[in-house]
Amino acid sequence: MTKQPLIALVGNPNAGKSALFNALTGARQKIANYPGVTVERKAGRLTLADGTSCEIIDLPGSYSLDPTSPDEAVTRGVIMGEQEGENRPDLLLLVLDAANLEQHLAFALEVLALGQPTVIALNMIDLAQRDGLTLDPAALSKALNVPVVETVAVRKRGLDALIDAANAALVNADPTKAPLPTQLMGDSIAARRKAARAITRDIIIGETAGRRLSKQADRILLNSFSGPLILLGLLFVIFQAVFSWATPFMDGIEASIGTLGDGAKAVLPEGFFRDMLTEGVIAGIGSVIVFLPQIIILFLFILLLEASGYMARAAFIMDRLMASVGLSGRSFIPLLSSFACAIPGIMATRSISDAKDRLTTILVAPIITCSARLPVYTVIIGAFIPNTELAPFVGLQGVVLFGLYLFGIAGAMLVAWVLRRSVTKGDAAGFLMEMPKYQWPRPRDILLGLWQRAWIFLRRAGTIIFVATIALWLLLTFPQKPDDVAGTQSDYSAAGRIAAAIEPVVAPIGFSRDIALAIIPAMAAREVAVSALATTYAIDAEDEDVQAQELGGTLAGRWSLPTALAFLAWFVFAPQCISTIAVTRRETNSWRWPIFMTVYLFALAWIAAGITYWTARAFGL
Amino acid sequence: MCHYNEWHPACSADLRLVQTNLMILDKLTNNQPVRIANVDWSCFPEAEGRRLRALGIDVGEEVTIRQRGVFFGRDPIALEIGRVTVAIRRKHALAITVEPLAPSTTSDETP
Repeated sequence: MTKQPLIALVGNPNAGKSALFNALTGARQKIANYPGVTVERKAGRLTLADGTSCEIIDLPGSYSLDPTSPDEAVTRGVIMGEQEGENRPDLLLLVLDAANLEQHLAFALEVLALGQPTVIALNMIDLAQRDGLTLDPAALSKALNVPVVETVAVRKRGLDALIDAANAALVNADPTKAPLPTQLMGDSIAARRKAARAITRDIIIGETAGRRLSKQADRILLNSFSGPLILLGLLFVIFQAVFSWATPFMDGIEASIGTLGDGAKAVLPEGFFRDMLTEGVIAGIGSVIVFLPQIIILFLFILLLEASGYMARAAFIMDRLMASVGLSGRSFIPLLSSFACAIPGIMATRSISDAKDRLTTILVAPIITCSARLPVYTVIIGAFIPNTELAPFVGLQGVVLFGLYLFGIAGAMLVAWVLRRSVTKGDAAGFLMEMPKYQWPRPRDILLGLWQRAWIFLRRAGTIIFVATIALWLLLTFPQKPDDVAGTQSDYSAAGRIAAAIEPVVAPIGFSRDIALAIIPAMAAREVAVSALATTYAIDAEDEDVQAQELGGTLAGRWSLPTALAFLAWFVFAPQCISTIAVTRRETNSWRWPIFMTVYLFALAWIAAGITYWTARAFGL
Repeated sequence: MCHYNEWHPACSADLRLVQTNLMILDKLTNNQPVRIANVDWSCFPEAEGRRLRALGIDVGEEVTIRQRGVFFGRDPIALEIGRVTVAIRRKHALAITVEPLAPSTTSDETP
């Protein structure tokens, strides 16, 4: 069998490359990393008209083959055939934004000068027309000596013609053909821009002022007064939605888990297996799955902001604030994603070109309150903070939760400020960022993104959290306490003995042995703390009905208020997430930074919990 | 490296040019179209200069400041180049010397 051809999508950022990739491959995408670097490799399959099956990859958006970021270095590497783990593409699909030809042609000329088989997709032709541009694709094809196909990726227009052109180019690929007139092969950015401008002038047949919606919108959304207010309002709506919209779904999931547990209990014979299933698996994983609705809602907003083009505006507005701690607006996007989960947040730092900015953002991202802390916060707040109404629609519980979020933000900013003056000292990098055109997000792309995020979360619940929960249940169940020994089963068990060993370290900050027991398996993932407490108390419970749903009541009876508050403060900082540490290792390509991160975050967690505990005690709480 | 070429003699060579209509980009008001006359590349690290050029900020290009700052701040700046808007910082605008142009007829002010 001959090697299947490799097609690479190449283009500037915001050329609509990803939309075209989604339209060409559908949901059948494989996302992995290039070996040794932290750049995502998105691959899919495409069947040509003649039945040839091709692999198609979506290269990171680039402005030039002279790379200024790890992403751009991979694009260059693949196109030149120098990237480890990738063959040189047999065909380049060069994606250009029809409404922004002048800029995109400058990069296109650089790529075309390499002489590889190339087909141009003149994308977003509808938006160009909306902008009042009439183009002559035939003239572009003639000027560049490559096939040009008009496409509207988001409406799947021009895809068949594009696939046909790709097919023809693959079949007739002739490496000896000089594809680009030499006068267009500029040897500097300035020369290429000049050539690009000349070509653009020739192929624009008509130009009217058009509607320029993006400009109108920017006048309000980037305005130095209305812009920040709108962003603030939007963030408020997002957090409100995460908490209020999710409630009915969470209640539903909780009820089904209860039914499932009861069902399992009724069907299965009493014994080891039934206990493991109901006390370990169902109670443990159930207490985590409940948070799926909140995670989906948060990601829905983040994906919408990204797809619409607003996210870059948010970065613009936040730049001044981020600059005050030595970062730039670019760090705002990873940090906002970190409210959902630090892992996509840390991965999103790849777009930060300055190495020190990027490292600082990675190191503080775990302090931002991620959704895995919500289970912990919600359970503790529900158990210890009275639901008093401070003002209409403002409850004390909500205020405490909001306070914890603010604590996380302030902590991250403060740590960034300190790091920027010590560990990651250096000149503040600039903020250079293209503001993409506004677009209506396409429901299909949003759903695809949501599905990918939800699946990652569920897979985590099914693997890491599943294993941690079962391991903890086994450690808590064995050795079995003989009836004539006093104390509880959890104290007698192997886990209890481990917890007793680390208790002296956490005793000064008000943590009991039960808490020590919960924070060990919570190293796997923060939300395990909840399932661990649920499992511990379920095992100790005399009454079979005491399960995770009543965890709050159990806690309120066993913990003091200062301990509960200290536990909350602990989780603002504690780096309890193996996946985050692993992703930091991968993204920084060393063990040094993940170890540094883990140590400094544990130290901060201990100090924050200690201060909280001692202060609360001093006030006689 | 300089941050503010008003204060840094090494970066203000272009200010001594006799051509009197030249201005520092940072001093412009919003919506005033200009052509870039000079960029003091020594004001930024080499990679940042390349990024600026890749985004189309280079000598001879026509640009317009569309928005700047948050509340009363002067930073950052939304700069329009052709059909693209790019966010830059004040320190970039301080290193760019520009020549004012007459307001263009295809301005978006006309409906």
